[in-house]
Amino acid sequence: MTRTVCKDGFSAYLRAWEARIGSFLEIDEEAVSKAARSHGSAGASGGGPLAGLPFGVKDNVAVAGMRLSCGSRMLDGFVSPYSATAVARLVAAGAAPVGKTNMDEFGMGSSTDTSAYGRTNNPWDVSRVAGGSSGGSAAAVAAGLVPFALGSDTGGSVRQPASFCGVVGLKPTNGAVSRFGLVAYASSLETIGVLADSAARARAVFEAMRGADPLDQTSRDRPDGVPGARAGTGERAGARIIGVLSPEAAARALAGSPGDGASGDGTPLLEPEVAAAFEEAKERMRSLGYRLEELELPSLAYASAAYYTIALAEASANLARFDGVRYGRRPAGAPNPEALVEGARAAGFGDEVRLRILLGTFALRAGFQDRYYLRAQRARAGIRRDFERALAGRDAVLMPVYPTRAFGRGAEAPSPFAQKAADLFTCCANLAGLPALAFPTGVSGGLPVGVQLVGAAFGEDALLDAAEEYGEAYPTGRPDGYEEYWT
Amino acid sequence: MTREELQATARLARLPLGDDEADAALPAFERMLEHFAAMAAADGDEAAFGAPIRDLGTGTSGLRLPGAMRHDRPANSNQNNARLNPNTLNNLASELMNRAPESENGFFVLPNVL
Amino acid sequence: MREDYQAFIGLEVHIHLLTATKAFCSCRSAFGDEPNSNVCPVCMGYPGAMPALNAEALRIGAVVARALHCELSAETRFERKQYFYPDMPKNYQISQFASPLGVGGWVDVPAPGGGDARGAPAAIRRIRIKECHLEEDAGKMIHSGDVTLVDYNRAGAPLLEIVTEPDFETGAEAEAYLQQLRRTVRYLGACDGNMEEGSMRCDANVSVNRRGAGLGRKVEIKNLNSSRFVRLGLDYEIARQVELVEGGGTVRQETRLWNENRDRTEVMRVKEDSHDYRFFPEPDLPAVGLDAAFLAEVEAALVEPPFDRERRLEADYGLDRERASSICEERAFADYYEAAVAEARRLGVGDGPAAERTAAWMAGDLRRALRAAGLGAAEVGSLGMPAERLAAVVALVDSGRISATVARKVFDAALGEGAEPADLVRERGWELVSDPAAIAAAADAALAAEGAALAEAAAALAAGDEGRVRRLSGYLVGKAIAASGGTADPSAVKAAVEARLAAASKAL
Repeated sequence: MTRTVCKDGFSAYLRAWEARIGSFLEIDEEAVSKAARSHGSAGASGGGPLAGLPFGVKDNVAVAGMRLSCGSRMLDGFVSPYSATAVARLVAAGAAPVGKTNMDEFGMGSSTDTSAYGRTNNPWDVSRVAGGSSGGSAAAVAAGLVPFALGSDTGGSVRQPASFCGVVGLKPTNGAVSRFGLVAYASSLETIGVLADSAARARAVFEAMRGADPLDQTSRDRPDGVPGARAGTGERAGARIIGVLSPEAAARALAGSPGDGASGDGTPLLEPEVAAAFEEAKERMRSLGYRLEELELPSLAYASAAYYTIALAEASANLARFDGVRYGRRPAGAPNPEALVEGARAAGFGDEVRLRILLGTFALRAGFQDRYYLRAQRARAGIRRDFERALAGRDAVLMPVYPTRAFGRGAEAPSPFAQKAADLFTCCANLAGLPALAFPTGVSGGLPVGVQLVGAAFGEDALLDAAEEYGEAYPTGRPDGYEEYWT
Repeated sequence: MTREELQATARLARLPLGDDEADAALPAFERMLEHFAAMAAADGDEAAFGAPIRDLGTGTSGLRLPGAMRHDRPANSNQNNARLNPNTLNNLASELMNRAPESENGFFVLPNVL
Repeated sequence: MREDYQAFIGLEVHIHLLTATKAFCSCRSAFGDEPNSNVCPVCMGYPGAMPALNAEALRIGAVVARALHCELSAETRFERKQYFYPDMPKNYQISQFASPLGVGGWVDVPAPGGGDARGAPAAIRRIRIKECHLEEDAGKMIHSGDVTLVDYNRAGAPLLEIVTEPDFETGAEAEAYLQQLRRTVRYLGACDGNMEEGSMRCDANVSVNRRGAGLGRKVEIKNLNSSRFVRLGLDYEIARQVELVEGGGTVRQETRLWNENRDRTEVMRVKEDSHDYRFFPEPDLPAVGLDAAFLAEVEAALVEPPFDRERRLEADYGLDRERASSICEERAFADYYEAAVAEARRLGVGDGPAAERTAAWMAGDLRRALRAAGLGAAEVGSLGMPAERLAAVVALVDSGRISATVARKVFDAALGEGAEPADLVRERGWELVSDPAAIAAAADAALAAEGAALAEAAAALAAGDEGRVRRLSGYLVGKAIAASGGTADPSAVKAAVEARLAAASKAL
């Protein structure tokens, strides 16, 4: 692993990496190279921690004048006329969006391979996926092409790729960052999130983006009474107690869920490398002075059902606007508007997206008198209560991010039982509306491993403090060929 | 869960399914029904949530007051919102028209609805 | 309609709220601009856009709901009503369902055709309001040849939908309700109530059944573009359904359009999906808690309802129904009336005469002046004839300072020149003259000039021809008044002329 600063060679660096990983769908090469050249030079200091930094933006977050394809043919060629509020605030803080990153189509996937515009490869092993749906952003940061990138997290789409690529991934509290300009998939579950090369960087980005936006009436400032950002003196916020949801406790919760074969087949939930890394992380947290307390979260038995019902139902409504009438592509020679709309949607959406829209439509149909969507929202409120109980008097809950490290293509998927848990670790933070931070803890078998901390509402700082402390004490590596351009 | 029901759902979503496609999608729909069963079971599982689920709210973003809602001022008035949102949605009408797949004299064009 | 049958009609009226911007974005909410000029990513359903509720739409909607005696929901929520249609940018409409803005109201409507002009009050029907809810409007489509053209200027405009229970029994009742509702929303400044322009739209649900047998199968009627068409369309539909049922048929649950050219309802030709709207709570808008401050603001904005005001004017001012109704046509007009009457009373006019004469002036010269200026009754404030000035004219006549004839000159001059009536009377010497010497001089001057007439009149008086005397006397009095420049007290002039006439007659 080399760490050389070679500013004039940035263009070549960028191109070489992109040929191997394909993280950007569109990039202003000149802008990012210029940023690299002037970065850190005398006179560029001042103006805040983000001044002069380039960043990538997931292709479902609007940047005026750039494409907004969401990884889909439906928006092929579409250029956004406006920017997301989060992007506008970062620009106001001196940073510059330099490109749009690849993603699973409309955010629906865990690999980025469902993009209509090609795959993104993991910088640690290009035969493996970068994770999803924010795979492009994670890979770009992991390769050092940009110091940070924006993603979106509906059920883990920032944290899982962060974990697969060995970078920090922050999912803020729902409502902490404006969603205006994020192309909606599941409105009540998703947030714009940050992929960054360090916890300190993620914090700076989050601080610049956060806060109430009149254009998003579900966005809020941090309420009074929640501990604020720590002072820069090294003083730490929080009580230094962390709850732990062990894989066994998760399995017990799943065993309680109704439905098929929830008692499992005895297979462990986590890949051995991930399980070992989780135990190591626990030890290291203890060594840093954190007290760890094992806990149970029985409500997780309903997490999958609630998550899928809500996500798909909202997706079916959110994607209804794509019909070829006001923007986007439409089939030629349609005899009537209905045929035009059907043709545009059939040609524009990939298989997974179409299936999810159908399932969501199904979930909302009148035949289901009991309004399953509302029930799912109630179950969700119950899950939030369960987390609030678990977080009382504690800084965070520690849990795995995903059952495996970055998987290969055509490789065996995790076992059916583990697959149910696959979303579980991440989707529960979306269901509960709570902040969650994935950070790398090491490298195992040549691939990154990491863990996740879930915090109380607007408690991002405690999570970032812990990750920063961990990162300083136990630095993890970078992929071969990485060069550090962004200090 | 019948193929006909599935196809009716698909028509509602403007994503019509042929017979083969519908049959292929049936398993995914069956799984959805399992999720619904889980939702129904949640009604009776107070132990998991610590409270009867029917007492829990369905709102996801909390209550707001009328005073926090948007002031009734047109976008192209001199309202300085730059601090909160350096974004602007003003004066984008021509940009939007440029993105029309088909237009005529300032209207969006479609095959006749009637 | 046959007595053994009963009709049940429920109305859904959409009113376009008079806000500056749309319901969920800051685009101007206005009619008549260039197509697709008042649009933005939000109201065009662009990817990534989110709605932001207009506080004023919420307020005005709540005021109307309260004016209809609805109870406001403590927490009101928005929902998505989903269906695909080219005029719907998101292919769902943001509306309300489970927690609408207001529920359980009522409105009293004068039963049409009942009561007489004076005396016993008309029968009143109480119509129950099921609910009021906010929602956004769709764009406008123009169908032409092979294509449909779409203009999204109206998409996202704020609407309040007002739903009644099926309490109406005839088209006339529905028409009366609409007229009342129109007046009410205009009184509140909430909506201009213009059905022809589409700022107030009405759909109806109609069913019939044998009296006492409960509700029948209902048919939806659309395209009722004026209150008159509402009456005609509903009466037609009721008759159609009764005839159908009488003939042994069953009414089909369907949507029909009123065809105003053929005076009948017809089944909609367009195939409609049996709509499954898949309502669910709008995740992009928080529920709104209507707090005490808001409720107080809403109550403070309520005004006396037009029908109540009509009845009060009848009772307190002794007006007949027609006059009271005419004055209460617009709130500004009724305000004007009460202000003018109050001022007239302050200037010393008796209660009764103040009320009656002011009403007469407003029905006559004021209405004429408004028409001439191209203004409606609601714009009386822009006429340039403040209520106090009208009251001054009334007071001047009442006190005897000017004659009725002169009063109209004073009115016209006050209007045309923006001058105070008292000033005009003084400056132009329009005071009623009662000085006996002046009266005598005027009488003498007139009679001197009309020697022939005088002689004829004297002869007629001597002959006892009363009719002729009256006629000639009237003529001579007119001349005498004219000789005074119109300012002579007519009764004094009449007495003077008659005295001279008598003298002349005796002299024969």
